[in-house]
Amino acid sequence: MTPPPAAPSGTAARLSLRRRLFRELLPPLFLLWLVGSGFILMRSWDEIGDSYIDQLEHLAFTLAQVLDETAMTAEEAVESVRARRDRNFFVIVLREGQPVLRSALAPEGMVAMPGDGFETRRYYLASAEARDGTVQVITGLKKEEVRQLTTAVVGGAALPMALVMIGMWAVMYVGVGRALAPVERLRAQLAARSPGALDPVGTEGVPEDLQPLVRALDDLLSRLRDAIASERDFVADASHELRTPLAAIRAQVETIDRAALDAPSREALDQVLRGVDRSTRLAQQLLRLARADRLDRPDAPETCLHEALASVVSELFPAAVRQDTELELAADPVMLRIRPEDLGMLVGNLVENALHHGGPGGQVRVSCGSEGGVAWLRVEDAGPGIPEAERARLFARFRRGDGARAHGAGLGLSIVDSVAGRMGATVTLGRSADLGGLSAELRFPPEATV
Amino acid sequence: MRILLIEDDAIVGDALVKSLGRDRADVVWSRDGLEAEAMLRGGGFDLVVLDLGLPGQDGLTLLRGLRGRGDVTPVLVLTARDGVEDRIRGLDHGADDYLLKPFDTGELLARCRALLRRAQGRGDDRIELGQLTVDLQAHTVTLAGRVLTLPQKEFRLLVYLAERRGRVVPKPQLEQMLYGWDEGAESNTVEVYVSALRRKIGAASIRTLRGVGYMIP
Repeated sequence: MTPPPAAPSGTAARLSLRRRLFRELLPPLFLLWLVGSGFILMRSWDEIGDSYIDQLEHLAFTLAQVLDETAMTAEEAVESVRARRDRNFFVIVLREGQPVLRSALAPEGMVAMPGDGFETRRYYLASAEARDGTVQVITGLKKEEVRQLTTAVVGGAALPMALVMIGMWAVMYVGVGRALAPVERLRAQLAARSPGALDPVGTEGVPEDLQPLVRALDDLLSRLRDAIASERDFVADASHELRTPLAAIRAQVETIDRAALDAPSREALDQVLRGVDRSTRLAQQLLRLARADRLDRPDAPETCLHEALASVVSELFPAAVRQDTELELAADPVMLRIRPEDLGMLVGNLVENALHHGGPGGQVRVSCGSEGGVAWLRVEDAGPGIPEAERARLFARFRRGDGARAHGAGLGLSIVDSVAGRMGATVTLGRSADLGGLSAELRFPPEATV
Repeated sequence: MRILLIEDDAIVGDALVKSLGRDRADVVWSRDGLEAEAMLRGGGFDLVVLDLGLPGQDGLTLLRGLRGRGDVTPVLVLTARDGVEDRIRGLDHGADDYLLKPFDTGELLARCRALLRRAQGRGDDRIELGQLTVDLQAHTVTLAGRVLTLPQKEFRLLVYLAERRGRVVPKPQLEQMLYGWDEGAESNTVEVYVSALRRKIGAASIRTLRGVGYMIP
């Protein structure tokens, strides 16, 4: 038996869609943040660098002017400018190529304005000439200073940007959940339907985006309804189509005057009738199985199990008499919610199985009762029983137990298993304590016991 | 007696005409619902054997029409549909008995005889159970040509079971038949009569479904 697939829980169904949305959105958002931050970094680096170079040039030019237009010494000139300037700048003043002044931060060994050499990699530099080219003023700044500043600026921008992005995620998370609420409502509505409910879901109150889905679902349900209806018709027709020719064979064979036949012919005639019986039984089992698998079944009515069993067992009695088997019903009064056709299938198949395996001259007992609020039903026989290892295999459709002497019993237990499974009842095979053969016990779920 | 057989299947119908004819009946066979309807309106049948799946007009409609006209001719329904609902529908529409295809011809004949007897209210028939013959008119039972003397209650019990041959009769139903509603019977009196009958007509002639009732196979 196959249990129906479990419906996904609400949160899981919703989260998977959320997760999907985040998987789609997160990487591009992160990439955007990286590109944005990188762009700010590059731009800031260039801008800040340019502005420092301007300042350095301006400083060098100012110093050169001061030296040209006043009689200040280099020290005095630098001091007058420095008071208003950033201390991170350094100044080198050269006269006739010889350094006459080096401010504190001036790098060791820098004695001239370098070309495009190593030094410019670490410093921003500017220079100006004064006093008819005899004096050269070099101003400089460590690039490291600019880098630190730039990092501070970019850091200051990237953090709020990251916060904005996180804020966006949060808003989306909540928003996606809210936007998916109609989906969740629809899911709950579908989950609450009974397995046999095939009426349309309807698009009322369903958001526009989900309407095509609901319409497709309703379309599917309607096709399913048609399919089930035609299946039901087919089962009924098949029953008719199979039984009529069997009835024809049987009725014709029975018009033969047996008294006029010799013994071998009579035996052959009996074999024909047995073949018809076997075919009838198999056809009946297949049709019942098809019927039991139907979806659109009515609710199980409250039934007096002991009374219902009396009528089911009565119908099986002629078969038991033909098998020369004693049949017995030992029923305690029990009320149970069960469909008559289900009970017929369960008991019918178990008893037929017991009759077949018990062999002629055997004994079969059907009993029912309740124990601790749980109804049970047992069918026992006096046959050879079934070895434990063999029991589970017997439930497989069409498989027959080893050493089964009678034919056609292959479907019985799998039908029982299928019907019981759908009711939530359990089937246990064991050894009958009283009769010594197989004992098949059904235990019905507490909710079915009235 | 005249029997109207309404059966569209050629092979089944042919066999039934033979079997019923051998049972001293005059059988008219109709293979179409509308034709059968016309024949039924003509009347003159003692029993109708009706297959439910028919061309022209289906068996249930035919049956409803028959009962609607106040015709009480006994009807034995044959059907190839084994659904419980089909059976209930058939009996609800006024069928007197019901047999599922494929059926045992012996049982069909027995039920036909029982329906005819019941309808005619006459005990002028005999029930044959193998070696045993029950003469309902003479109230005698013969076993292999030897006449048995049965007390009234044993005879009634035998006839009741014989008329329901092949079906289990619940014990309470037998008690009620023997004693009516009022007379309080000892719970084991039916058993006593059954074992007395068995001693006279053979142990295997009446089968016990323990916990339910008895049956003549």
